Amino acid sequence: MDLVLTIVFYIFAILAVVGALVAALAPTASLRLIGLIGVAVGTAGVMISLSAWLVALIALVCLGASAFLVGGGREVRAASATPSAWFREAGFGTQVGVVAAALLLVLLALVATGGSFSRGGSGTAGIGVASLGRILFARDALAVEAAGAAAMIAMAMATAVRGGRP
Amino acid sequence: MSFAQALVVGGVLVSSGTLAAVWRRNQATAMAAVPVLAAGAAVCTAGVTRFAAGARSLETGQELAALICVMALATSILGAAWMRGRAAR
Repeated sequence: MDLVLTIVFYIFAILAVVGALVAALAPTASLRLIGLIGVAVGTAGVMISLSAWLVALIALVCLGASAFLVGGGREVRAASATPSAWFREAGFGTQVGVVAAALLLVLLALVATGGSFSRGGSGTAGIGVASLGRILFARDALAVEAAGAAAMIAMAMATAVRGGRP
Repeated sequence: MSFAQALVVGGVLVSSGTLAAVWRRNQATAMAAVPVLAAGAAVCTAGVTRFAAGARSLETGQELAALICVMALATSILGAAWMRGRAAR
């Protein structure tokens, strides 16, 4: 059973990751929608392999609906021949953002594979980041949720105020 | 299958969502980053529950994952309505 769940995990993880990359880089709305549907189905499959059946159903419904809501829309983009040409033509902010996304991937991979968080250790530093993370996500989860919701509302309001300017 | 693999998958999804947010030039198509980011965060929190040892509340990670998915849907609804309102103006 564990082997079956592992195979299911890898299949749906690959589907989710490929869908995410397609959603990020696809030039047309239809391809973007297909990518987002792949993310929804892949995430639901990964949840099933993690024995979270109800969350899998919720993820499929919520992420699938999100895909149909935000998957459309025309891309207003300069007619660059290749993505690399578009990257060279992009503004400084976009280039910095793409590099930051790549660095984030490296950092998260290092934390997942090389850090003490996944092994259950308490860390070597005096602060104990791993144990602090477990406290935040387990014991005080409601407080973290409230703080996250407050931050999201603040960011949405800031964006609304900024978008209202001419 | 281990917690590290779930974290790697979640991390790749979060990074792809960040890439989608910065790669798209107009705000309407940049909203595609929302479900991808939520999927990555949900996979990480569900992995915490699956591989937690000795936790007192085993359902906390699954609860967080479900809330993240619902938040993603709410944000998508808000963003889509906002973009359509701006387009109509």
